[in-house]
Amino acid sequence: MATYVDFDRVQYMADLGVKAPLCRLHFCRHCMKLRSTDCVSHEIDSHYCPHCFENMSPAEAKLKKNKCASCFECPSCFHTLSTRATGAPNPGDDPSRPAGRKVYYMGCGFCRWTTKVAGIPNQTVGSGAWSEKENTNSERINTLMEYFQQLAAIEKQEKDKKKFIRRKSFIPFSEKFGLSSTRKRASINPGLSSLSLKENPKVMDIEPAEASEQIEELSDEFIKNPLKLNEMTTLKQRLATPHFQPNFFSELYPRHKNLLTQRSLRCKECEHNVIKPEFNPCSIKYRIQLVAIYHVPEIRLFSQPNLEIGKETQVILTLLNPFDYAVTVTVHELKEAVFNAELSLPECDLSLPARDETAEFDDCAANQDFQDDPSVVTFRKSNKLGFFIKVTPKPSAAGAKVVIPFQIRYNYRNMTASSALTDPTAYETVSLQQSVFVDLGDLNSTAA
Amino acid sequence: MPMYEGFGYGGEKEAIVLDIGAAYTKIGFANDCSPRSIVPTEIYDKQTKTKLRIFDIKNNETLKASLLVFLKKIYLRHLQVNAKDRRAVIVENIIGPIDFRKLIADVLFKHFEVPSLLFAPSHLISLMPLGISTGLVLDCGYKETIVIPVCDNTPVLKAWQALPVGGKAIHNRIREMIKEFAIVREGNNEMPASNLPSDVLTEEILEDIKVRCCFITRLDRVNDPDIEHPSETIYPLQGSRILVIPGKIREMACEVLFQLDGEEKNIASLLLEALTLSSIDNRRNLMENIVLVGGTCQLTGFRQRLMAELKNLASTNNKYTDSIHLSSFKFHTAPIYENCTAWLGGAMFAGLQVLPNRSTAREKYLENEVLMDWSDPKTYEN
Repeated sequence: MATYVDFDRVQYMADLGVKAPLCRLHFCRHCMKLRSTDCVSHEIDSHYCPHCFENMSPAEAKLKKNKCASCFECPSCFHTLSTRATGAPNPGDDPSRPAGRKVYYMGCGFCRWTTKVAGIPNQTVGSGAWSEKENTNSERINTLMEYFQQLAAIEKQEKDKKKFIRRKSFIPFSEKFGLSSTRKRASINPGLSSLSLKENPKVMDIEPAEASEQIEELSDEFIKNPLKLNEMTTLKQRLATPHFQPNFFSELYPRHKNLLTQRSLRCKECEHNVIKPEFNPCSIKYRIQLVAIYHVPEIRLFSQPNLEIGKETQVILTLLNPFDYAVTVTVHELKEAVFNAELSLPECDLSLPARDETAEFDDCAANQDFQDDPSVVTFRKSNKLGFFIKVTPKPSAAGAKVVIPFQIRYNYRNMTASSALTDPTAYETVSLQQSVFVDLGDLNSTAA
Repeated sequence: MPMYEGFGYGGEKEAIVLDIGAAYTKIGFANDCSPRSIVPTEIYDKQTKTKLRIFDIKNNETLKASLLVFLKKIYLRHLQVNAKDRRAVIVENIIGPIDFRKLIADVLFKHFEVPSLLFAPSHLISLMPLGISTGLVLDCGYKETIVIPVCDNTPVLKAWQALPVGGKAIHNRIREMIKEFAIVREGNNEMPASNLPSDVLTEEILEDIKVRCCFITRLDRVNDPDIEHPSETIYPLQGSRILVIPGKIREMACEVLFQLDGEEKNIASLLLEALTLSSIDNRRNLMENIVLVGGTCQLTGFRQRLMAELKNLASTNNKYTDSIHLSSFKFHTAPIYENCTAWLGGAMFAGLQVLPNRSTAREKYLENEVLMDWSDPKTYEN
């Protein structure tokens, strides 16, 4: 069964004509439709550090610039740094005396980079004392920002002024309707709105950047000296810290670990959640988990068929019931699809028992008393069965992959929120259909 | 707890700022002093199982799908914000393809549902981090080098100049020179590098060689036939293979930027050409306010060499001696590295309160799907 590796071969049709394997799809319980990852909106729930699992709200993460305050990353190989303790050399000059207090440095367990390489002094406390390299230009940038903010304020003011003037043109009308007295009073009184306009806006002075003519030429020593490749940083290392792109290995500086996010997915049509994780990042559980594979009967390709043009071949497909109730699936032709093979689909119903996780370990398969047509059903095991489809590739399939489309119909028990309140076992049964596309692969090359 | 968010300026969340370059994309927020991350502008193609540069995709359908994947990764992985509640600012090449900006707008407005979008011309906003209003901006990136003079905050499009040289041209030159001059050691065996399988010298390796080994040499050493090249460098390739890179490659590979082509153009002549095309009253001001942006400008020796080339061409080439009588060229240094200068300009502009007025709102775009575009006056009508 090639399904686990080649899961792309059986695709389901989601909305907007997107075809995707079932394990990549979601099932919206409220629209009763398959949703692909492009048709759901991704929302960020919370942030967490992948190393220490500290989680924080978006507001806190924003404040910390999406970085963990306590964990650091190796600037050389991006592995997480660990804190190490070492004895400080005694300030006294007697080397025979044992080292005194402990000091700490950070090291990478993978590439052996340590903070000593960067010339960062050892710290006397294990955590909290480390800092990232400051952006030395931020002061200048902030001054410029302030200046541009003032310019922007003037522009905005002028825009508002235009609006104000336009409003004035309605005065004749207001006179007509007896509003002139209030208007007059307003014009005598220097209102707040006009005050800010009459005032001459003052903009702070900034020093524009000075261009320079003097540039130091490359020295002969630089050109002649042999290059030590190990001392040069790679582009990836440089770009990891955009405000400080060091050229030399000795200038690398540890950086805070970037956070990761927990996301929830929301159906774009009905705005209900499709996936909602638990708040705790350590938990792998979900509060809402509408993955298609638990809500739609799954079709798999049993084995690679041997196809030839014009020759009828039996293809075995496997059908799985993911529900905890018995289900009956019927297979139908897909009318509007264009395909390159003649199909003969099973006409009888395919009944499957409920999914039972203990059945795997139950050797004496009980109650398998289904009246199966042996020309359709090949085998049956707990909640899955194999069935035949007869495929005759058309001449147009030459050189292309044979893809067979069909539709499955089944009954789905939907637990609605309103009914669940009164009776947790209540459900309504809906008949659903899904379009399936099975890629049977290339034609047999020896026959071509 | 999003209700506590946004007590900062104006109660509004900071806009996101993207500078999608041919090789690298700079990602960050408005009001920040540097980008949050710089990532390659590429996606992983599942079908061919290779990395695919976004700008190499020719088919519009595939490009749209790829942009979706790329922007999704940017939003969720690098920015970690919900696209819906942030205005977006894209730093764009003013003479870039219209189709590309249309696709970006389409994907951002329709799929990510951003509230508003602004395309900021990269040459113009590169002046913002310097606090000047007039400058001659040279953008030397991966695919091409573009020069546009900006006078009093207005790009003078009449005088734009471009040449298809940049990081990529250097990579190609390194590959050619390695095939010609380098040798490969494997154990005790030596063989010329031309025997290497063609897929060994990938773009990544060439880029790494450029960044770590190469530099731009002095003008006086270029035409001197007897100069002694710097020493060779040993560069480990995969496994036991070792590439011996001769000093000639280290010193001369980047010359592709400064070699005069058939029309006597190199990146220095672009600047001079742009100067002769701009008005005579602005020339002096422009010459003394040259702004270098783009990652390729960060190569060791780039500034020095460009200055030397400018002075040399301006004083010897007849084309320029008549129109440019001065020779005092001055280069600016922005408060950030050259590859992020345009991004920083975008981030500064995005932090201003006029941003909502200047950008295209989502509702307006969805009405008629028209983006303001300088090359088409009709788009300004509504």
